[in-house]
Amino acid sequence: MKRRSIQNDPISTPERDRGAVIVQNFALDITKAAPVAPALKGQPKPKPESKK
Amino acid sequence: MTQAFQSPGFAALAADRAVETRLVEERWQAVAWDLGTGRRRVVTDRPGGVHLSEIEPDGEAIWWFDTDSAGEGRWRREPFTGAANGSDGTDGSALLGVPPGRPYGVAFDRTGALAAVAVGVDDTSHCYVGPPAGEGRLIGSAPGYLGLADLSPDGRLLALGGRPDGDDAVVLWPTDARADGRLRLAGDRRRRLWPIEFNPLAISEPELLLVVEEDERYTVATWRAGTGLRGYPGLSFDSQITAGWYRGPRGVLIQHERAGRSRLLLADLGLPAAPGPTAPGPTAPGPTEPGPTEPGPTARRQAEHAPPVREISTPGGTIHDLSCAPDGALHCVWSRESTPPRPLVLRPGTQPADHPGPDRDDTSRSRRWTPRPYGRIHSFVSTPAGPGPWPTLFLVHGGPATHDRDSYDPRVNALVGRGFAVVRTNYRGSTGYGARWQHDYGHRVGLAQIEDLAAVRAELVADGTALARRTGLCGFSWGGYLTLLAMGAQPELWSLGMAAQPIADYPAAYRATTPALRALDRQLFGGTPEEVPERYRAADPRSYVHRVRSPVLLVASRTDERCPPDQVAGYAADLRRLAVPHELLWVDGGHYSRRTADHRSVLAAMVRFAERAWPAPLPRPPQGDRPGVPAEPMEGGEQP
Repeated sequence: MKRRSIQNDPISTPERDRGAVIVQNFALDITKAAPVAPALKGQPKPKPESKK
Repeated sequence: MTQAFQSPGFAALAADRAVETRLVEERWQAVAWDLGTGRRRVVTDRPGGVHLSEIEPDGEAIWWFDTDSAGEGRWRREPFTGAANGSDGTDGSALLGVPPGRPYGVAFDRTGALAAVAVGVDDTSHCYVGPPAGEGRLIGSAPGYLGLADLSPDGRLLALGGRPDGDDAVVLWPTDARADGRLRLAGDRRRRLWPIEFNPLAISEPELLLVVEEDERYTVATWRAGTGLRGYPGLSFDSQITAGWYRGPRGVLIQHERAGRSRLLLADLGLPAAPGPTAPGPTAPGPTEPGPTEPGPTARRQAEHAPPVREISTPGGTIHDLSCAPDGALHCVWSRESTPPRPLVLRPGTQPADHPGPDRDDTSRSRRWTPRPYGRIHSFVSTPAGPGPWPTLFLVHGGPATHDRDSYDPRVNALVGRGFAVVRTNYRGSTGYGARWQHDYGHRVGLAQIEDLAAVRAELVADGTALARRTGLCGFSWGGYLTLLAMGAQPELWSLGMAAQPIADYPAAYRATTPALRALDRQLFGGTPEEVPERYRAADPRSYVHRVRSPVLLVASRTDERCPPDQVAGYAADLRRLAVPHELLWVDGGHYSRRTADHRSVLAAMVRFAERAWPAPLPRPPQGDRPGVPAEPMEGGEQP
């Protein structure tokens, strides 16, 4: 039987090797719906996450 | 633990067991959900998160894909009740003998006694079958990308899908090496095929559900060895659909995407046609204003009957994800522009319940249809409260074959909260508006799309929505590619560009990306960079980099397998040499991070960069809209 990690249909085919539904809008902290918590203006430039 | 952001995966034979994907300490992890007790157990703790998880049909064990940041790895298996991996002397591998690779699909037979796993290793797809936690047996290999769609209930037949318009659109492999019967159903540019899933109740003879695109219609179809491919013209739509078997031997659930909204329909392929019109055709005008079109000759030949169709009441907006519980309840992840994604449980066949009313927020939202000779371009426009014009950012979707929807996007809220108008445009190539809109732009890759963005921009400037001197582009992945292309090809229009994980050098990206995306590029361009070099040159942001004159933010990851880092670094070197103001931000997490902190930092960097490029004064709304999210699933749709 089909599993949810498979997507292959006209809606999602172009991203087919991604393999699963990923609700992109959830990638930010949806529980707060406030993705830019720290004020930006006049504050130090945020550091990127650790680099390689 | 926060709410699930995918629909649960249910164990078909154990009604009280399911697997979910939830945010756990800001990382996506697999969670075992006991519906009987309500107890949830976090199964995984991977530092990079887990985004693929499954449950065996009898609910005995959870499967999850253990991946590195480049997207390669292997499936692991853990008992639902949580016995520790390794206690049985194994490393938790779900299927032994399967090499590490890219996840190209998992399926089980009806009882879960047999599992199938497809993996991509280098440029080859392999498919294995075996008992869970047992030895996998290689069934077949094929060059390029071939995804596993399903394993038949009796475990005897595999369905795989390649390019919908290619010779390998549908590939059927018996799992018994001694058996004959390897089959292919070929597609072409006039007929595309997608294998969906086997009928779980068709035990004696496998019956495969498919979607067929032909004559600009998307039609539900079935395949059996004895009867071949059969379409159902009464289940034919003018824009993209997906489908699945739903309760009963011949029930089908259809999700129809049109003009940025989802709807759900139920049909029974086993019932005779209902009297009168049954076609669940479109209800809103499309970009090309196609209206209901007549089925093509093939469809007419197959017009044996049109099953009755019933639409399920939903609150509108977008169904992001959907799964069916053993009791028939549909568990959706749903949102609309003003409402953050939330669980929504629909119970077809019961009385409709009240749907959530409109949310209050400080954002003004509208839809635009920009007329062009080839059709109308659909955009979602969000602005701060009060009069414009505003500095305006086009939030350009990727794909290209996806689309922006009537769905909540926290990036929109964040940007509107900082005083920007935000435009999400479904340019040519987007799904949700029919086959012609998606495919018919003559291999003018990128150029057709930025023409559409420019047309929408002109309209918004003319009507006082957008500040002419402050219109910019912000895109991720293929949207980032369009951003960079437009910054060089239309430098007079855009005074800011922000591109995350973009294609910055198309030929270089083609050489280094994944097999699946190379296949997609060949489809888009009509060939490889060697076969049609002039098309790639015309579509390549680096062909126009010498014309870029406004600030550019580049965001890239050193472990991005789809839009590889070196070609972004090369573009940044060009900007440096040309003394174009720019910034290159390296982030972790590959092409699409599974950690929320990564996304927050990128969005924060973008807001900072935009505010620096377009200094104040910016209009400030009283506050950004921040609607809350309920912790528990919302019952909606139809209830007892």
